[in-house]
Amino acid sequence: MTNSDFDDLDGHTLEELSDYLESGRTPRDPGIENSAACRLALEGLARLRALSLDALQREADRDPTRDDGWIAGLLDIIKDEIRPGRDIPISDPDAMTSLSVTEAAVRGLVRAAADALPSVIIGRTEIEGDVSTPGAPVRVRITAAAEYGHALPPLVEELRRVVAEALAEHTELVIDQIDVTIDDVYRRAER
Amino acid sequence: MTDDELSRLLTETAAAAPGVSSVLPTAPLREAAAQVVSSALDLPRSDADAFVQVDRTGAGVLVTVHVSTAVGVPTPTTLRAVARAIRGRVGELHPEAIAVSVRVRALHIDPRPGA
Repeated sequence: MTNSDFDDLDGHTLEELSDYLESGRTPRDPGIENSAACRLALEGLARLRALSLDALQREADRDPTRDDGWIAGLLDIIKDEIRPGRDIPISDPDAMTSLSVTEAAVRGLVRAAADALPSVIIGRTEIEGDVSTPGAPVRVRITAAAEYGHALPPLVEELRRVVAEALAEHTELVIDQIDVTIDDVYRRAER
Repeated sequence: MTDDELSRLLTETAAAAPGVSSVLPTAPLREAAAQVVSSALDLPRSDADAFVQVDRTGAGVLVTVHVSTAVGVPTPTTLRAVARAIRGRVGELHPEAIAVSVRVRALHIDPRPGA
């Protein structure tokens, strides 16, 4: 862990958050629950556990040398994506009112939207373009791992659809394109 | 009314707006934690639940609010509702304020159902 991690997580570490998650988020810790960065990280950690614990174990069994790198990569993404990033404006008729949503909140939204699909694990989400200028077209780039055995084209189309719907509902971004790159394949453990 | 008292009232106002999952501190959390410690020690302090930032500029007021929004309500709708509620509350409490500027920023969209 670096000092930067400590600052980004408002004085907490991923290990602490992992323990807190393990305890069922009880007793409630206001220092964690009042931090947007911690909550985004908690959601990322919870998602890793819920969606991919089996898959991670399977990968570890199949190729132990690969496991550390894959998990470390996913944790790095969680840490990277909790930084607030740019403010994305939301319109309001009152000139004395300024509304915005942070890039980190939108990245979290994309992840949550993708949770509706059981066969993908989102990797990195990037929003390219001038998000601070209303109406300017932007491009969304997503990387994801797909569960082995699924046809990729329909999976990618479904991912594009759920992400586009979420962004349309919660932002005023003008989405020019959503690029999806499936950069990994995982196997779900047999139950 | 002090700025801290106003901030606490506006924090409650924002938290009650439809679609708000929670109000988040505008100040760094370690500063907020220090306020909690000050409270425990009965030291002069700001209120720990005063998460909304209030800046007075002459006859004007600038209010800054950070929120987590619930995914079940479109975030633009929620942010506008917060701004309206804050503006209304400041108008009631400080009718003399000539210019009331409101900034509302969503730092997090809470994916939990019913958040």
